Amino acid sequence: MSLPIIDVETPIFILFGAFSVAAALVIVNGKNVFYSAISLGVLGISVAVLIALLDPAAYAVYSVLHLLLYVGATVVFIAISLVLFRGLQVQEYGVRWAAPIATIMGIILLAAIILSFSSSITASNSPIPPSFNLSVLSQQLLIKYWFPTIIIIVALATTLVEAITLARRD
Amino acid sequence: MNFLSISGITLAVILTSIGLYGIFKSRNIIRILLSSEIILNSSILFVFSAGSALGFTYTPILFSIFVIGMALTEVIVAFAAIILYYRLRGKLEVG
Repeated sequence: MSLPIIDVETPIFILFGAFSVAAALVIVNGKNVFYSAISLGVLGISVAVLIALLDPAAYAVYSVLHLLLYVGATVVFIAISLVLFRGLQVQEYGVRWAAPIATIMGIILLAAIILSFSSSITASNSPIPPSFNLSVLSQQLLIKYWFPTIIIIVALATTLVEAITLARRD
Repeated sequence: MNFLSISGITLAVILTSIGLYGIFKSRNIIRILLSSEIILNSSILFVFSAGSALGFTYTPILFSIFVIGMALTEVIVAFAAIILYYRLRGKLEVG
């Protein structure tokens, strides 16, 4: 008698997908913006797990980077900065057309994705991803994409100067 | 395309719709910024799902590294603008 092979990745993917949708709904509907910022951290963690599950051998490196750089830096920065403000309770004005417009735009987006993918899949029928190599990634980052890398470095340095200027201003 | 890629793309579309709903619905600047962060996360998830479906290994990673760097910059600049707005107006609602 052979035991059935249980795919572990699919239930975990569905679980963290549900987490991400719930976190996004808390961000949009929460009464206090601070809790929305905390939910953004949950969303970031869920997205990192989902990315790692897509292709663990290749995308696990980026998943760790997402956790460290996005959840660890950006979300924590937002949460700490919110302490500066008083009265974080959000007043809602009940915009009635927001939900239908967002739904229609989502349907249009899904239709556009399906159309573009149907042509891509026929062009490349069964893709075989190459094996992941970290040195190839760093070479591409520093040789092929050197200009965007410099732009990012300059942008981050500029924001550092800006943060110091803001902190020193009365 | 496997099940996880299709699910990832569908989830990215759902998250984008929720982010758009948050942007349209709220007049609080911070809520709008957080909703745009939902769309950023969904775009990263979409790029990786599409890359997994089409067999790209390095392109999604490189793209997302640049996106995360620019997102960090954007958040810091946006918060600087929000702090100045709050000092001037004393509130966080727009419009």
